Amino acid sequence: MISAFSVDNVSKNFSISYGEMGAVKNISFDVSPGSILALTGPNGAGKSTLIKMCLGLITPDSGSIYANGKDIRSNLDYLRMVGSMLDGNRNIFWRLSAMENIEYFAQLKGMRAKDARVKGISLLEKFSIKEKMSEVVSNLSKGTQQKISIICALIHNPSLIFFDEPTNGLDISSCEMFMDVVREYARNGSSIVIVSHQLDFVHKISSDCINIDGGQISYRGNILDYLKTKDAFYEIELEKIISDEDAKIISSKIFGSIVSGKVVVCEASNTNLESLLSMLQDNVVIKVGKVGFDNCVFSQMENVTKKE
Amino acid sequence: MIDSNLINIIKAENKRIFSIKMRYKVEAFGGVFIALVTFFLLLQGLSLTTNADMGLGDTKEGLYLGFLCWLILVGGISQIVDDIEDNAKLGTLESLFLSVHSPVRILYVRSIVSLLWGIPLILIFGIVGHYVINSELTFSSRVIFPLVALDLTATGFSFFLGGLALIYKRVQPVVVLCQLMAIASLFPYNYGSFEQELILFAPVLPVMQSIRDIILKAELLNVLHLYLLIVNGFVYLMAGVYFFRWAISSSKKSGGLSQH
Repeated sequence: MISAFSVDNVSKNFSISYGEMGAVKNISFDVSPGSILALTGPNGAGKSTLIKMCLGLITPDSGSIYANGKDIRSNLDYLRMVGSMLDGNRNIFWRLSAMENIEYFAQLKGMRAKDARVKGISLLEKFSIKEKMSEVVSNLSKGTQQKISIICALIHNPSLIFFDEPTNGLDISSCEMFMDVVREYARNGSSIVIVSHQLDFVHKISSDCINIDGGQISYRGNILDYLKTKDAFYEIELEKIISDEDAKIISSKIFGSIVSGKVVVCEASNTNLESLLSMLQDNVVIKVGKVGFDNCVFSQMENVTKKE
Repeated sequence: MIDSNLINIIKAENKRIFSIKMRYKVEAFGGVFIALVTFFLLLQGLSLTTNADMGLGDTKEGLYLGFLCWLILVGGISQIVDDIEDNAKLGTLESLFLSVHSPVRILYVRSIVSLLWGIPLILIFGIVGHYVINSELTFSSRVIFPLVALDLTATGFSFFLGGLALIYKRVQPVVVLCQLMAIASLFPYNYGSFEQELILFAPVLPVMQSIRDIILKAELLNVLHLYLLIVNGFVYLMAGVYFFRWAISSSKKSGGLSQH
């Protein structure tokens, strides 16, 4: 079966003041129809450069990129079948209303304004922002702008979709809406590639993750399995200092410790994150959680409040 | 040439520009209004304090006509490059290159739609100015030819500057330089017969001379000459578009397309 999307040994060097920098080095991967692939990695790893090469915004120095078996450079239908959200809420017109943006970007992709309006209303409803459709984007919150940006990427029913940090600025319920919509598109056959730093989000949205570090693929598989190969830790800050008794109970159940009665630190390799969060939520209010390794925090969980 | 895709993008750009102009009216119309009021006040000032020896036909009509042509010329020159720089600041530049329509088509459609929105405004102020300064200009329908040629050339330069913007990011000083150099094209030069043939290859100069001849001197230029002006404008348009396409390719190779 031909992959929906295939990156074949692409590389890219950039000229910088002190020489050349290899942003992407010999990366290859496939994305099947109807699948969701997550790309993770530290800042400067080459993720955005890779995505931009996939979109044709940057020409690789070597290697090829294929969509439905055809090289994207010579595939006249490629731009019609691809949708993307880069730079978050910056890639829409702030002086236009939500619906004006949606119609405009749909027409850039060859859709008629009338069809875009109908589809746009449906997507606005899914993201619970239909009432904002006539509002000028500059007057809307960052999260709502982000949702409009996402809708503009999805409006023309692309079969291949790229998202770069789509959940920036979105609250937990909006993240859930986004995941539902993305899963729906995947069920309908679209192939989706998502770049994200939020490992809990990555874990929920896809079991297929590529970690890029230093321009190269360092891992492909399930993100939690990847964390287990590193000295990853979970650091979860509680809203208030817990009693010694509660601290003893929690400590006995984790491979880690509670620091100053307020911060839970435990080894990721020996901890089931979901069980840990569930246990903590039964007892305390979680303020913020961080996930990282090698003393470098590269992901941050949303605020998680106590279960009722 | 005209397909449903082109009509679709014309409608899309027209609606986008209309929405922005209606929402931000002062910004949309204030610029031209201020420029024209400033010009008339300066003209009145000059009339009161100096003799009319300013070149451009040594008459206030020449100044007035030159100013209107300069307005059209600089508007055309800066349209595409301003569009690219504005989109780069907004973060919407990539959308030009991710559309099913080519970026050249989108930018040219935007340029035409902006011009169409600007024409009524320039016409209104042109007519008002015509009566304010009590001018004796004659407007023949043949002036359409050099005006179209003027817009084609200006758009070609704008694509060229747009290409520079893609590669070098900030090029406003070059744009301002071009706008100032455009003033030099407004002066009435005296050409010999050989030079008359030669300037047909130059940008803007033959067009401005033809506009002066038709409007100031009420000359009826022959149709072949008028068609040659269109060809002249078209050649500079194509040169600008060719450079712009090369700049896109170069920016994609250097990775600089979205680094603004």
